[in-house]
Amino acid sequence: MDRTSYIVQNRGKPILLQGNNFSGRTSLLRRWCVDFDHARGRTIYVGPDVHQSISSLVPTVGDELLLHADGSRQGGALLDSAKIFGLGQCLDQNPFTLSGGEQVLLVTLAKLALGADVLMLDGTLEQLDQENSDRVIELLRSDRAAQTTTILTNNGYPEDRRWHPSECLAASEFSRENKFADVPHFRSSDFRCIPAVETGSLEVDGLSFSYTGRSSVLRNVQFRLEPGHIYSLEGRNGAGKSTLARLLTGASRASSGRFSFNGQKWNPWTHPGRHVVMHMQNPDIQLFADSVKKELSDLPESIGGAAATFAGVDHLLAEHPFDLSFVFRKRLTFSAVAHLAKPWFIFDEPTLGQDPAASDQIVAVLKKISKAGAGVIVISHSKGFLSRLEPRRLRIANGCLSSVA
Amino acid sequence: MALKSPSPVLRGIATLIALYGAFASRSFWLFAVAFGVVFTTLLIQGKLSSFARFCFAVVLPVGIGLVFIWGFVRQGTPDISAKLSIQAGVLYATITTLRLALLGGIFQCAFLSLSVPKLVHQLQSFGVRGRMLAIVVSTLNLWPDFRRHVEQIIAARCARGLMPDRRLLTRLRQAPLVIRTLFISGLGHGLDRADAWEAGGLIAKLGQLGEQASITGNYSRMVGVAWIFAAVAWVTAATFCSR
Repeated sequence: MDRTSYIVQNRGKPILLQGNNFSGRTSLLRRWCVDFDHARGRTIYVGPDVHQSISSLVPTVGDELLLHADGSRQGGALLDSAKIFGLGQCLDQNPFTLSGGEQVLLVTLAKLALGADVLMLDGTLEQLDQENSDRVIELLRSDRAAQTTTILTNNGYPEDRRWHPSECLAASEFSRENKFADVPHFRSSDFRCIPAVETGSLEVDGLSFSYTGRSSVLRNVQFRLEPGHIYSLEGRNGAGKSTLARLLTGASRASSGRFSFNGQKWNPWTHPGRHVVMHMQNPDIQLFADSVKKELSDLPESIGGAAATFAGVDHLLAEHPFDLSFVFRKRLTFSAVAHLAKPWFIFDEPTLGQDPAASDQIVAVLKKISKAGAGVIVISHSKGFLSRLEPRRLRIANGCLSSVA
Repeated sequence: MALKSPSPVLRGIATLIALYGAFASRSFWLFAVAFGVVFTTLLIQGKLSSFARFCFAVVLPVGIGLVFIWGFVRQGTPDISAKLSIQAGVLYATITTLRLALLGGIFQCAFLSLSVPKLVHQLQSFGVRGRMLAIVVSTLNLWPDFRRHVEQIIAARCARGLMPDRRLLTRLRQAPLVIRTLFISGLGHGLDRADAWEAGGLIAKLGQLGEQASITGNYSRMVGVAWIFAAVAWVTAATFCSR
């Protein structure tokens, strides 16, 4: 079927475009953008690196919504929706200071308000918690999106998808010409686990944190985590999961609290990354060099080569990291962190943009790291991923941390 | 009852006159009066902390540099020969620094305190429209964007264990890498954003925000005339008292 007529026929419906990594889905979406623009339709593409879809024109979340709304009446409705999605507390904040999930909500609401003919959400909704994900899907099926054909891709495990088969479409039906000749490898067997010189428990007592001018994100948090185990850090979008991870790595400074490693007090802020390193949700801010090879040059030479092979970028060593696709960028930063010889690792949404086969490899790698004696903390909204990982579950809600039975 | 704003054209004229007054002033008493007005206005607008950050991050380092150069290196002012008077050099540097702070304060009071729709309407009243309007409005967000992005890059380096401590020397060593990453990612994202502005019709929507503000803006010509009187009084005092 002709792509443009397919989109026109399915106006007002959300469609899940199915396919694995490198099946050509993103290329297909990009081609549809061009085709539909030629047919004088309006398409908006939002990728997994959702922060790039924030306009950067206005200083606050409220202004961003107002900018996208068509007239003050629709602006009011949009602000009401934002409040339903939990963004009501954030209207005066800069959009870039929102958590990854909150940015997805903001961008989805704002772009939907533009009333485009086609809205493409490529691997975007994976960053939402289940409740918000359900709300967004409900919104996309409602009258509010009646003028828009929404095309989504979702890389998660089948149990993470909440789509009716009639709403699903196989990318292979449209994109035979886009298929990669060879799917780049990503195998846990290529991963070389580097045991830390010293392993030990991670203890936190009385940890509190608040961003300037906002209420407390974390309140008197205390826990003790044992090495050789995998822990999952769960909670709603904006609950403070990534904030806690940043405090443990020393990327942010705690308002109060004491940290101990192996019974010894230490201050992560003054010695960042000494005992805990972190693979961040957004890979773009964790890439610093002008080639893939240099990006891994902080690792010992033999390990750097292994890290490139594991990430499947060994044939792209001379490439600039920003020229790689999102899937590769995410794998590259994952590999760069996972190959460090550290006692504690935090992985923030490691499966973002990765299909089930790749996510299985990530599960295997994390299990290897924990078997080698290191501690692993995983932040993820994917139930399929967490069920395969079988972690000890921790949950953040209302600034407090508790273990989940 | 909501406070009325001066109409955009009168606000612009009054601001230009006040900015000229800041250049003309050389009296510490006049600076004190002007800063009193600026502080009070910013306090009412709730923007005093932004101005304080600007003073500490920009004005103070520039001021220290100027005092060093004019007071202790040049030892004079542009009007007199070098190596004649440390006192004159320090005085010149201090007044230049106070002018810079006052210019920033006036600009903050007059423009940066405006809501986005009113700011857009203000710029439209000066004839700034279309893509140029988008560029000017986004430029006003540039500094906070850069500052936040630098923080993110440093945090990301900490998280990868690439910054072992926070000593001054270690932080200085990070600077080239941070600046490089900042510009490369900034350029790439900038191009993507420009495409997104076009695809989403955001440039036109930005213009519409200003047009809506022109209808609902609660503007007053009388308030604008009062602003101009105050600005003219300030310039007159600055010109005559500084002779």
